Amino acid sequence: MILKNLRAQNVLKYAHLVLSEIPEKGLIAISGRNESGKTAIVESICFALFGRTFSVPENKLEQIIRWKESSCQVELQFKGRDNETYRVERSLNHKGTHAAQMFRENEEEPFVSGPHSVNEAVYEVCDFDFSQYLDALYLAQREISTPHSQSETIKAIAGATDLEEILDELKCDIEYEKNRIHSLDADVSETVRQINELNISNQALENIEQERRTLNDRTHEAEQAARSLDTTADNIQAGCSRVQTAGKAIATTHIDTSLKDWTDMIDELDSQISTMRDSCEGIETDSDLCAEQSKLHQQVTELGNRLDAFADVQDRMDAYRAQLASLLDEGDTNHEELGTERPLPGQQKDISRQIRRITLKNVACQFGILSLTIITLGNLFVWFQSSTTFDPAATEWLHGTLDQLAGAWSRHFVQISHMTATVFAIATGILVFYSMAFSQRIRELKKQRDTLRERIDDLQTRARLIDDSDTRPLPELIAGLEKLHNAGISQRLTIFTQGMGFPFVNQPALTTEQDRLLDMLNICMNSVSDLRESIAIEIGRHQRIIEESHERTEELNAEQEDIRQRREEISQLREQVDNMATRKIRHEEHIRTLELSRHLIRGTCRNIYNRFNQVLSKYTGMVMPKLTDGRYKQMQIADDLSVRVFSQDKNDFGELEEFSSGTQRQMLLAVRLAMSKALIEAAEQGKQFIILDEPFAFFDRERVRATLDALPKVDKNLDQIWIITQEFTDTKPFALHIECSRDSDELIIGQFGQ
Amino acid sequence: MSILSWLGIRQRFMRRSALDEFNEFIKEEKTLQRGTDNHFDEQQFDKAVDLIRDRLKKRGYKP
Repeated sequence: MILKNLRAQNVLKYAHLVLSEIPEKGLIAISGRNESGKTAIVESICFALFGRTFSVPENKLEQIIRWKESSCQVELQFKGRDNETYRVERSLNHKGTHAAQMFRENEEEPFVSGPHSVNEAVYEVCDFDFSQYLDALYLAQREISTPHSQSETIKAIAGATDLEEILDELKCDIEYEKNRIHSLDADVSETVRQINELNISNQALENIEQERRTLNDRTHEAEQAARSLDTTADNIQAGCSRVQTAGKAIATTHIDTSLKDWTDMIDELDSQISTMRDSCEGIETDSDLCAEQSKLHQQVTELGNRLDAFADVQDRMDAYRAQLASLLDEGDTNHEELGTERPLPGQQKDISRQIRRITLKNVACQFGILSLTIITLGNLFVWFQSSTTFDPAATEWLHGTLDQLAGAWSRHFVQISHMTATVFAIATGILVFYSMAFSQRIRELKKQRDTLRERIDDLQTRARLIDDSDTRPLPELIAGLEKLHNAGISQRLTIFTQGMGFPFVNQPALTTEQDRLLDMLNICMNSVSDLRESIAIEIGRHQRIIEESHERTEELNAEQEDIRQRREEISQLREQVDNMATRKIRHEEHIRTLELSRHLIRGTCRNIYNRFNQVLSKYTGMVMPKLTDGRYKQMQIADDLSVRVFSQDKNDFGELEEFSSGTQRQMLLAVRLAMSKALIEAAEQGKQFIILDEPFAFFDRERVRATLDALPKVDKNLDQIWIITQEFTDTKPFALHIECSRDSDELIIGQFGQ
Repeated sequence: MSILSWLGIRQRFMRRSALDEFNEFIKEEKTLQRGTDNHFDEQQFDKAVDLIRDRLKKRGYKP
């Protein structure tokens, strides 16, 4: 870049500043006393190029406006590295409003507008920015020093800006990753703390389970107890009803009730009382109803005992019945063992057998009588016919028949017929006698048989009385028994009817007992009501236990649910911890990658800087002899840009501090010029200007002269060299000499912009 | 002598592409690391190289 024309209005000291047709090659001198406006010229150039200056802070840019003026304008025409001519116009008012435009040569319309766009366009055509300009092309007043190794200019010139920026980005990334890890660690700690807060011991859950089981058992027991009590109450109620039924059956029974019915009713009542009492086994009560010897039970027992007193009578009845059985030949009774007569049926059979035998004999006798009578009559007929001639024909027929039947004996038969008739008549008389005796005997036997039959009937009646003793009404039975005229029975019966069995044979006494029984039943009924009430109270107690257990179970369920939720939360938190640990590992892995990246970039930058320093050392070695009149030729620039110079006197490299101040300034000026050369070459600038503001502060006259001679020879592209100082003893080396006056606010050289 | 002087004059500072500088360095570094006794994690090395190349690519450097 080569400056061609400059025009400024109200900038710093100058109301008007015009520099026209500035020489493109050679030294340009700006001289003048203090506060004569020398630096204002280069500040105007700087403002025109970059919109800011070296001496005025960027946030107070309006300070460059001339005192008492409201705005300033500056216009700079320059030739860029593309060898094209550009013009930059800037204006600034006291409010800080900054306007800029950039034009190509011979164009009326700007190709960019606005300070930012113009700055970018200037960078495009110059390839250096404000900082590089300050470090490499503008040596400010008395600011000759070694450039800092980390300066942006060095990085830019060396081409490491992007790498350095990436290095910074990676550093930020590493910091970010570390912060993320730190944040993750904090999150993990917080999560672990939350887990610890939420954590619960297994013992708590076991305790809940244990308590739940206990409650379940307790509830189950209470429910069972309540059901049992309810069932017991129902059983007692039902039992009481059955007792009432059985009791009222006794209480309302007429006296004409059989022994068996009495026994059955009393046994039934006793059984129902026992059943009802057994129903009380599941409960604890002092109710008389459930007592082993309740009044009702005692009453029933007494009735039973009274009835049992009949057992003595029954024993006698049984003994008597056995005798009857023996007489009636029932069963296997042995009359000899009992000492009774033979069984009457047997006797009856014997008599009947005798009757039949005698009857048979009698019939035989009667048949004999008949036969003998016929024979007798026949003999009498034969004898009569044979002894008379009353009917010869008949006599003839008779003799003929007899001859046919008896043959020779017929005659004899007729002769003895009267005798045989007599014999047979006698025999008939005998048989008649026997027949009469048999008939008499038969009549006697039949009479005996009838008597036995009557006895058997009587005995059977007695036996039926005894056999039916259970079903016969008791009074009727007793009356029947009394009629048996059995001494034993009668005696026991008297004891029974006048003693224990009195209520069963006496209606008033029975009524009294029945009334007592009814009273007892009423008491039983009332006791059942009381008992049910107490059972209900007990059931209520169990219900409360059940309700309390349910409530506690609900609480335990809530606790268990809470524990379950907390466990789920813990699980989620642990999952988060695992995720965070995984993320931390990834961040750490990324940090390692980033650090390795930084290592690689640093290595790359180191190579770049080493190469740049080598070139810079070489350039400095080329420039320095020209500034020191050949006294110092070799220079080493370390990585940190610290400078060591080879001293011929010392025959070794020495530190910069070992040389005089003037020599140090010359050496550092050489470094700056070398950097300018490097920048020009690196940017492939072509022709370039450089501004040196008061570079010869500690230079002696010879060195000033030598430097002025050497400057145009430093680099073939470093054509336009601006040098500012208070005065020059010799103005011959300069292509243009600008003299500034402290008393004038105008500096016009040439006609640019007019 | 004149040839050497000419060479010295011709030794100008040529600013190279940061990507080229980087590629050259990692080529040497990779060879160096492979030759050392240290455990060389080539996968991580390649990851770091890709990271830097990606950053440079975002800045307009073309491979």
